[in-house]
Amino acid sequence: MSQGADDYITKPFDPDALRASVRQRLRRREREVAQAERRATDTGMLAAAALPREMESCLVHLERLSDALRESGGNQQSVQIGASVRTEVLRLRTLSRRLRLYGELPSLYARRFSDGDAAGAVCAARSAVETGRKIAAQWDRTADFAPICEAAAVAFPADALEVVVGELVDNACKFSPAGTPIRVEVRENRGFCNIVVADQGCGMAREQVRSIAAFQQFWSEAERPRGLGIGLVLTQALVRLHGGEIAIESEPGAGTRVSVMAPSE
Amino acid sequence: MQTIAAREEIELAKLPIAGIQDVLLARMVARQEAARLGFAPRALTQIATAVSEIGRNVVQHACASGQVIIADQTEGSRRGLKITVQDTGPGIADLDRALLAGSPGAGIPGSRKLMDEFAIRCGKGSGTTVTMVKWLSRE
Repeated sequence: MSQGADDYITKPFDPDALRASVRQRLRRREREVAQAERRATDTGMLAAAALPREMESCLVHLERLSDALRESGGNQQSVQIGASVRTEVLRLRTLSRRLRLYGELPSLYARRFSDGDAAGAVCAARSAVETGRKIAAQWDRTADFAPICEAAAVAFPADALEVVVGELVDNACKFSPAGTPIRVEVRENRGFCNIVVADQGCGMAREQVRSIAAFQQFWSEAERPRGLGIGLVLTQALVRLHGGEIAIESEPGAGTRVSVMAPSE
Repeated sequence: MQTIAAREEIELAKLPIAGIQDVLLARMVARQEAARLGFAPRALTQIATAVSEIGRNVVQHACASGQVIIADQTEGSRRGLKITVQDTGPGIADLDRALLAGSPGAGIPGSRKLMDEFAIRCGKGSGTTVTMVKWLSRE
């Protein structure tokens, strides 16, 4: 009872007055925690939006250096180092773009509630399989990659689809052991295109799946999903922004199955 | 003395909501019906977004089943699309908080902003009914 007027209580006090005072302090504490979390989220999103711009010039420089090494005509080791640096630069560039997109999500979402979803574009459904194949190759998992494509088109912009499938297959490769299948299935069903990415990896606990599904961190006081990375959150946001829906099924130790649904035209 | 025109409505579609794919279907049907009524492309997208947000709440937050009713509504000389989303879930514990822009998910205040009329009715344990209307612009 020593931190300001709102917790002042005259003595002698009765139990009701004491309860009211404790309730008031708890409410204040709740508000402070919520404000701190909101500030942390805002700072994180600002950093996510600003960092990639700073990184881009460094990446361009690194890429040139790696090209110079590869083409220097020097010994084999230099050429190999140049090639490895280039591969890492490309991965960093992809990460940087994802981070930037992640940082832009709050404004994209705000626009969604004035203009509506950004639905409208259509692309070839097979591009989902092509993206998946490319990512699996980057993880040296081509032999595990099991695609099925039975749909012609999906009402989704090509660049957004590439990010969505890329992130999902990347996660599948990252969280499942080599030698287990990574399925990418694209099917048409009653006017919808259903893209499924499934693995037999470590899976996620129900709470983790729920925190992604709640997708609260960009605008709420709720706790951010920690330790999950931005992949699934970004994927879900993009799917919804473009008028689709996403369902995540996962079981620890058994694997994860993510289903992205969008109109087929 | 001013007279208030009575509202009349014709049901255009009634769709069950049991899974996330039903939300997508409801969205698509609402969009089609809105297009048939003559809504502009921006309004079509706004209506579709509101149906997605509120429909998804049924599946994800209420963890219940429900239905979406789409109706052609008239009031005097104006005409609009009425969307009713009903579920059998536990209701919304803190309705005032759910209507705030910074509330979790923000789908409810977001949809409210997209539509011309928005109302929520819910009782503890008796489900939730969200009613939204978008009027055709007279321009």
